[in-house]
Amino acid sequence: MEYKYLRIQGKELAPNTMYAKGVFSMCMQMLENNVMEQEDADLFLEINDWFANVLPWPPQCRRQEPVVCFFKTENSQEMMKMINPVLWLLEKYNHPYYLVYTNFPGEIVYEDQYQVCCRTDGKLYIEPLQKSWSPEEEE
Amino acid sequence: MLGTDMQREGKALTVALSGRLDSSTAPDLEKQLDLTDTEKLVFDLAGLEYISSAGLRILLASMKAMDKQGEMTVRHVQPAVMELFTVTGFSEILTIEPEEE
Repeated sequence: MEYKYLRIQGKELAPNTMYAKGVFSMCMQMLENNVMEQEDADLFLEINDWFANVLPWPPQCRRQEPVVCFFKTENSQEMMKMINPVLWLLEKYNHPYYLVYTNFPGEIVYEDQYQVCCRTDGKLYIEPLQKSWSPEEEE
Repeated sequence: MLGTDMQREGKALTVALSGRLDSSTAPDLEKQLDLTDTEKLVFDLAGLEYISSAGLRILLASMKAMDKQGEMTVRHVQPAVMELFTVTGFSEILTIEPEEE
């Protein structure tokens, strides 16, 4: 199976999207919380600056609308190379992250060569607990 | 302790590093590193034993500068440093010259 989109996200939810925070937002939060040593923080900022120069900043993100971004897997090989040191930093600080590959990113409201930006409704859906579907244990 | 030897030939600059490139030595290197009018930058890491995030940041910042004005390569990377390059993904970001047989 080939997937068109990839998002790197953490466990923490962003209040405006009710969606797991993306990798840059996650790292920025770590900087604000003084989790990283200064040299690691500086390395992240250097990498972040590279992305700021190469990756367009969607206007919806700039306005903090309830949107999330996914990399396009077919065009973002260079991005993925540069994201690896960021993942290394997350590993170094035992900060969990998840690589979400999908063909269903949601309603696309912005698109460029490297990424799409998709609308979220800013709500968190919690479904009721399902009846267990595991085989019944025999006494 | 970091040893630096910078050799300039025209628009080519070779920076040979030895010892440890970490948060205590990186600021001095950054001050010394003048990339003005440099079109070819080579980091010779034959004597470099250790590199930390501060050193990685200098390599990345240099690469970003050279992407605009020329090229940058890294050579003679020792196993301990190469291991860090591999773990961090810098081995795929930097242009590392293959070792001669």
